[in-house]
Amino acid sequence: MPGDKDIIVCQGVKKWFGDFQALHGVDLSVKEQEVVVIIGPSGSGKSTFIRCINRLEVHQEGTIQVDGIELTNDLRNIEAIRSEVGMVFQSFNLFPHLTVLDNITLGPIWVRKHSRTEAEEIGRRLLDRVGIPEQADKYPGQLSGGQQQRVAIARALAMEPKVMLFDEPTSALDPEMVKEVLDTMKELASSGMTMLVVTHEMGFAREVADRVLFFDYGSLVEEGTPEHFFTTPQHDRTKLFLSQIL
Amino acid sequence: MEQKQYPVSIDLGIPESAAAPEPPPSGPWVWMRTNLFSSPFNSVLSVVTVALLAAVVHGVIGWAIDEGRLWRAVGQNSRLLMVQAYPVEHFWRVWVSVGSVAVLAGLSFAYFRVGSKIAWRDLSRISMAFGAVLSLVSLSTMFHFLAADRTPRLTILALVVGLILIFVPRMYTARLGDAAKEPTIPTMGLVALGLLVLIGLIWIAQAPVPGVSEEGFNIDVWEPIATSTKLPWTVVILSGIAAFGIGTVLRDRVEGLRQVLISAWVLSAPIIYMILFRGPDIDWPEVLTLDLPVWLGFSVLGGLFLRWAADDKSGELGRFLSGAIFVVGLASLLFIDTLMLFKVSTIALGTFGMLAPTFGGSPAARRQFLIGWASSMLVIVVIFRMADSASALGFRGSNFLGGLALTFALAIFGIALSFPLGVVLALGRTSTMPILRTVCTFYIELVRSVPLITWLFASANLFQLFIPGGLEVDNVVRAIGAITLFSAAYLAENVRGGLQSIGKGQYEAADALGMSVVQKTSFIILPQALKAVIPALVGQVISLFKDTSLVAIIGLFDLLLIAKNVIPGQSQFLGSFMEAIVAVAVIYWVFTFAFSRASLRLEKRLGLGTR
Repeated sequence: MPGDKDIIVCQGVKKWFGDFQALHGVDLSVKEQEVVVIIGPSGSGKSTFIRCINRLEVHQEGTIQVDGIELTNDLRNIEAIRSEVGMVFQSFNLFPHLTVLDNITLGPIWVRKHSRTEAEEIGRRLLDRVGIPEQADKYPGQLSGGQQQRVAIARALAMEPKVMLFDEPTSALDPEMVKEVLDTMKELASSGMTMLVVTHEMGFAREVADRVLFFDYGSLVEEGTPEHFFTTPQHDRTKLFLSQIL
Repeated sequence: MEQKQYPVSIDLGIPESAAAPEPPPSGPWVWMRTNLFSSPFNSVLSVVTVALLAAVVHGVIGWAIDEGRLWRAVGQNSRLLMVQAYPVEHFWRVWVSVGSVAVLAGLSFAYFRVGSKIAWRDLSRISMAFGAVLSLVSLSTMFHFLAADRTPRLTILALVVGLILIFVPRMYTARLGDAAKEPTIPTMGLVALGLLVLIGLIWIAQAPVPGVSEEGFNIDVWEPIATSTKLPWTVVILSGIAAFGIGTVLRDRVEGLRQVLISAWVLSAPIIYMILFRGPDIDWPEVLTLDLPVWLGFSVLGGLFLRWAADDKSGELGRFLSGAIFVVGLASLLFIDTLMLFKVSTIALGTFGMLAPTFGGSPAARRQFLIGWASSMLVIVVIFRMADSASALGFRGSNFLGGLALTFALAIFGIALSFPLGVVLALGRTSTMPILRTVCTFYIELVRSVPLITWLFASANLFQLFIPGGLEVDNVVRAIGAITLFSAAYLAENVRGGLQSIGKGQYEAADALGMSVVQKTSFIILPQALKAVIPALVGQVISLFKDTSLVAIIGLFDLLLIAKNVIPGQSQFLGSFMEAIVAVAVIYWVFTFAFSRASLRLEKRLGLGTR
């Protein structure tokens, strides 16, 4: 269940790619331990929005605060926020030249400044948690897509983040591997992690989300509980989108 | 994770006999049919090519063993080809250099676990190939000898050895059966064995030398080869092998061996340079009163500062102070009148201070960082001491050393210096900072648009005009400088290719972990970028090695110049060009081939982590 404290607060976030406006002023606040699922047609700006939260994209107007720190051009703030916010990508983005364990321990050692032994302990514990302890010494290329995505989740968790961002984590996976990743995410949600998930998995949204947001044309069109969302959507564009995918 | 259970057998309606496994057809005939005679055109091509190849090889061998060949032009000039006119009483300097490189190489090979294991089956294949070549060559030689009514003495021996190489390992492999496929023989052991055989050869083998018989006729006398060098070579090779053994024992027992080895390599370059070219007359009292305090002071006090700067608590103040120290160091170059040693050390301290927050994370990383600082200071102090000391040699070393030694000196220093410079230039050219990018691009394009020979010429003749009078920079150093600056531009373009092959996702993943730019570049981007362009980098190294022959234009006597101009001018070998040129070609081939094989191995070894 969500707590009382706001951990992410966005106000009037606007973003342009050249002349094209990708975000038309998004307002959102996320409470601690809340699971927020963002859906919407492709090109609707939902990925761009969550990538703004850890500054992989730079927003031009509005404010974004994470855990009380405002995202500005100040490098210290950016690095501080990035180490509090874990991110899982659509295409995993594991480091192919490092073993699975090294992928996970890199951040703890060099950013969190843990000793190698501590970091490896954290790494093995997390691999255990995502269900692939036996793969620690393999290279990412030797793993299946689902396993790679679980390593990516472990890598993000190793930084002990306060918030996890998921950018379409199952879209690049073969159908039979989607479930193992979703199961890992469900387990994470039930452990009380604050999560922002961009996804097309409506089953996951219905089952796990505290709140569902619908994005279209770069703005937040509708938001509500999964129940409200899948049974009595208000907006025409939401109805149209849901009728196309359900 | 639970596993899905599938039914154990599925009836697909295939009769039992059809599914029974059969070994695929194999054997030499099958191989020849599929690869050499698969179509009429292919068959014709195979036959014609083999015939052509045989004719060429037969012709070359005929030329090589012709009685008119003066191969002793190479043998008797081997000292000239190796070190040119370096004085004999100073040869120990060359041997000390070669020996220390051998020891360092042995230790490093052991520490970095160079070399793997090879299976008997693969070894027997290699041996077969060697044996086949040796047998064919000796057969061809035998024909030539018989045709010229000469007695084929050594060729029979060579033929026997060739046949043994073909058949004995093969028979042993067959007896081993499947065990022969298991890689069990350590390659470094084979290398050591080969080196021991080489030692044996230089003690036993003999070559004909012109002499006078008892009756006063000019005849060939058989004498041992390598009379004066066999003892030093034996010592060098044995100490290299011994160092490998010691390294194997030490590598898991001693902590920090990595840092020691790296700084030893870095230090070995200036030390070898000084031993060979200057033999510095070191002012020991000054070493004790100046160098030692400077080194200790900067290592300890600077180390304390770095330790503080690496700590999170010092935060921005640490970075700010380091930046200030760096700027003061740079400014002192122009405005403060003090020893250059202090200025450079200050700049180094500032640089390390700015890097400290990045690398000084965990206690272990911080310890390594501080060891790195102390050894860098040692390198700086040693280089300054050596450059400051007068030459104790009674001759200008660089004017006398030539031949293969010079070729190696140019190539090794050129590669070692141009590599880091090239990487920095590539990073600069791909950076987002416009001024840095422009400067790097301009440098790369300028250097690449002018031939190396022009840069060498400029370094020899124009360089003196740009430096203050009285300061004299050695010819060899100038050549190394020109080669380094030239090669760095090409290396930079190769590395840039590698940098561009790294996907955006890698940068984003590193960013998302909160890594700094330096961490991202050194742990994520560069390792992958360099690995992606190993073939191109090795190509650059090989071409640099061969390009060193261009220093002939500025009056340095490299291997090729000696073979081309010096040997044919000697009275007893007047006009015999080809022998020495061929010998030089073989020397170049041996080293470049070794480079390219080593790079293949490196690629294979690093290839594990590819996508």
